[in-house]
Amino acid sequence: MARIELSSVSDINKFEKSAAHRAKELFEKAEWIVEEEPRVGATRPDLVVQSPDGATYVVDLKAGRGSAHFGSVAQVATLREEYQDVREVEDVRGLLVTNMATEENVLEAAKSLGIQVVPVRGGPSEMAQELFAQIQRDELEK
Amino acid sequence: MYAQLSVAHRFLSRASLRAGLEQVFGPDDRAVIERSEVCSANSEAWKKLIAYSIEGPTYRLVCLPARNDELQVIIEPIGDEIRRACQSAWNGLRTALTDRPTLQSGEVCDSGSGRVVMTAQTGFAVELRRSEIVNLTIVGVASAIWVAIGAFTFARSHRWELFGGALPSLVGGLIGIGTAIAFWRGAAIRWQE
Repeated sequence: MARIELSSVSDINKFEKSAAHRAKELFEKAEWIVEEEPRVGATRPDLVVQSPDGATYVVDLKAGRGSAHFGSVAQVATLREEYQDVREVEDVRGLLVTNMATEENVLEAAKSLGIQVVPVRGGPSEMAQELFAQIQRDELEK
Repeated sequence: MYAQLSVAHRFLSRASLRAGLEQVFGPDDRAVIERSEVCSANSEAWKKLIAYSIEGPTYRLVCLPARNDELQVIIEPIGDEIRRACQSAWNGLRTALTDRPTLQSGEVCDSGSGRVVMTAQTGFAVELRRSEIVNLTIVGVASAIWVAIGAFTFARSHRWELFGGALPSLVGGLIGIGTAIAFWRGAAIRWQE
């Protein structure tokens, strides 16, 4: 597999959009309801996924180099809150899917806010597959 | 729009980190977290996690140490251009963290989607690669090589004339390198869209 360079803004955005698109295809195949970049109030999460039994997941995909920033965790918390307020849905889960390293303090912040961090290695396909697998696991554990 | 920076610095405890930041930016203000656009959701949880926050006339600054040698910062401009706000915050952080902290990464993100809009870089190589500097430097270096070759071969008997002819481009090269050094030492942040 070709090495993925994430040195420019367009590389990062292409990676994230490609991963979102592939994840959408996976969820649609499994007959889940999925929205890619829906407009939710003033926000635009990468994906909103609804399982057949109605559980809702707001997903932010974050590609880059180095360590994941706590700002990305805060962003997911904002997306989740906005979704709950605008669509009047309760019990929405927030997921940050990232190929960046995640430091202990950032993980702790995510845990305190009830945001799940999904670490991923590889390209957009791997990111999409890991997101799909993680949500399937969460559904089974419920 | 907001910016997120990751800054590598020497090993610092949470208390000494906060003391350094307070010395430069002023006393920590927890109320800033409630006004923050980025940390507004679950602000009570953020208050327990954030090490330092402050609001100045042109930007809001929220800091969380990812490790004992890495500080993560959110900068939210208030009526100022985001690049100027980031440069001002970065200048303050360099003073507060001492011992040459380095900007590991920097991004400007869209508040609505979190999408990266610009990335930040600092360093001598970054300055040297800027188009207005790289052209001057290449011409200067090429001229210096040409003068060196000529002085020992085809222009052995006209060294001063050769040097005189090449002088403008040599000066241009020196100005290019000098400018790169000056901006590097001033820790200018360069943005890529």
